[in-house]
Amino acid sequence: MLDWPAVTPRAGRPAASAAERRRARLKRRLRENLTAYTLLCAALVVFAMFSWYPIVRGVLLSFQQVDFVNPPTWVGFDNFMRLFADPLFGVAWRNTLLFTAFALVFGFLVPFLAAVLLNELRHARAYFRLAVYLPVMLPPVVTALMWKWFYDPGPGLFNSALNAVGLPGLQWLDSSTTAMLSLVFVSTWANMGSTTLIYLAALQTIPGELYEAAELDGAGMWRRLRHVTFPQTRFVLLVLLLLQVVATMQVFTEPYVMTGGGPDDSTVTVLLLLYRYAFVYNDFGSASAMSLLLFVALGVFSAMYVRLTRRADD
Amino acid sequence: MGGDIARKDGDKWVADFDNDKGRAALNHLHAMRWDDNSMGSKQLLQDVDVQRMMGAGQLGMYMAAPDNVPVLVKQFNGKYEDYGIAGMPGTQGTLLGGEGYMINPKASAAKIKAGLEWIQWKYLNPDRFDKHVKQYADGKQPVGLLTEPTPDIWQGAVRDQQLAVKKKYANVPAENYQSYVDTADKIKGSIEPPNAQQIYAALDSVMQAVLTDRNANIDQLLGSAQSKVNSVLAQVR
Repeated sequence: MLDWPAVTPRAGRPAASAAERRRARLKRRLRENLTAYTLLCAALVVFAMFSWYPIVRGVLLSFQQVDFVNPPTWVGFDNFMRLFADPLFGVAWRNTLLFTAFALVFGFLVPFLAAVLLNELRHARAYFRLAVYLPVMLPPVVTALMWKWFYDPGPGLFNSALNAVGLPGLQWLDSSTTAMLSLVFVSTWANMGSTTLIYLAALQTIPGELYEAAELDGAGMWRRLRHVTFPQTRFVLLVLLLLQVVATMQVFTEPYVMTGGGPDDSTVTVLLLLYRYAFVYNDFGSASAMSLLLFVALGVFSAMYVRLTRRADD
Repeated sequence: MGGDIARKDGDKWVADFDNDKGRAALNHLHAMRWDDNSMGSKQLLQDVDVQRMMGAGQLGMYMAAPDNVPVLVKQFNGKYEDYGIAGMPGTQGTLLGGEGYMINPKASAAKIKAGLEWIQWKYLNPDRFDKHVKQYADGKQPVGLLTEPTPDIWQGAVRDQQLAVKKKYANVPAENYQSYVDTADKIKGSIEPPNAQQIYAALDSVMQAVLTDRNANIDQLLGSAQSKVNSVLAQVR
C-alpha cells in the first residue's frame, strides 16, 4: 500500500504561487505608482500641516485661554460666553447677513444680466468679456483703496459726477445708512467677472433649437428668459448662489480697508470682529471661538453645496 | 476736557464718561463738524490717512503723539520746519505713553538680572547720553524731537544734562515744540484702563456717530456706550 502524504506537493504549489502572484502584483503596482504615491504623500503632508492641523488647533484654542507665553489653560465655554456678552457680536452677525443679502441681490443679478447681454452680443464680444473680467485681476486692497477715493465726499469721483449734473453729493461711506450698500457695490464690481463668465458658459450650453422653438411659439424675450434660460441654467445658478453665500459671509477686505467697521459700527462684520479679537484685543481664544461659530454656519451652506453637486453627479 | 474714560470702583473698573464732561466733549465735536465744519466732511480717517493728508498739506491740525513728526517727514514727504507741536489745550489731561523692553519670561533669574543691567547700561545710562545722541546726529537722524508724554525717570541735574545734550546736537527746529515742552510738566497724565482696545472701539463708534449724523442723540449714544464699556470692563480677567 502506498503511503500518500497528507498534502501533496502538487496541491501546495498552486496556493503558494497565488500568494506569490498577489505579492508580485502588489510590488508591480507599487513600482508603477510610486511617483503618484509620493506626490499624494506630499499633498497629504501639506494639507495636514496647513489645513487640518490649523482647524484642529483652532477648535482647541476656542476652549482655551492663551497668551503664547504660558501654557494654555482650559476655560470651557468662557470664550463663547464672552462673545455672547459683547454687544458687537450680534451687530457683526446682523451686518454680515445684511451684506450677504445685498451681495446676493446685486452679486447674483448683475453678473447674470451681464452674461445674458454678453451672450446676445454679435460684435466686440471678446472686448466686453475682457472689460467685465478686468476688475478680478486687480488686487482686492487696490480695488478697495480706489473705491475709497471714488466715495470721498469731497473731491471723490462719484460726488464730482453728481455735482457736475447739479445733484447734491452723498455721504457714501461716511453715513451709517449708505456705508454697507457702498461696500456691496465694491464687492459686486470686483467679483462679478468670474461669475459672469461662468453664467456665460452655462448660457452657451443651451441648445439654440430651444430658443428657436420658443420664438416660433411666439415667446418674447422675457418668456424665453423665464421658460428656457432659467430652467436650463438652474443648476449653475443654484451652485453659484451657495458659493456666493459662503464667500460673502467671509467679507473682510472691504470693511477693513474702507471703513474700519464704521460709521457707528454699521460695517463691522464677523470676520472684522474676529480680526479685532485676535490682533487688536490679543484674545486668540475668543477669536477662535468666533471662527468656530462661523465655520459651523458656513458648514451648513457647504453641506448643501456638496449634496447638490453629488445629486447632479448621480 | 478733564474727564476719564473709566475709574476704579473698589477692585473693579467702571465706565465714567456718561456725564457732563463726556457730553461737553461730544457737543464740542458735534459743533466742529456741523456748525463750523472744521472737522470737514471726510470721516472714518485712520492715523495713516491723516498723516498722508498732513504730509500733502491738506490738513492744518490733528491730535497725535509727538512721534508722528518723523513719520510725516520720512513717509509722507513732509519737512521738519513745517511742523510744530503744542500740548493739549487746557492741560487737563493726556494719555501717557512709554517704552517697553521685553525679556523672555522663561529665562533664568540670572539671565533676567543680566538683561535688566544691560538695558540700564544701554538705554538708561546718563554717561552714554552724549555718545548716543552724537551717533544719531552723525547718522543724519533727527535729533531734538520729542517723545510721547512719558513719566520721565530723569529729574534734576541728570534731566538738565540730557536736555543740554539734545540741544547741542539738535538738527530739527526744536523751538517749534517749545509750547508742548512748556505744558508737559503741568498736564495730568492718565494710563489706559484694562481692555483698552475694546473700549476705544466702543467710543470710536460714538465719535463716528456724532461726526456722521447731524441728528445724533448724544445722551443716548453716551448711555449705550457706557453700558457697552461696562460689559467690557466686567470681563477683565
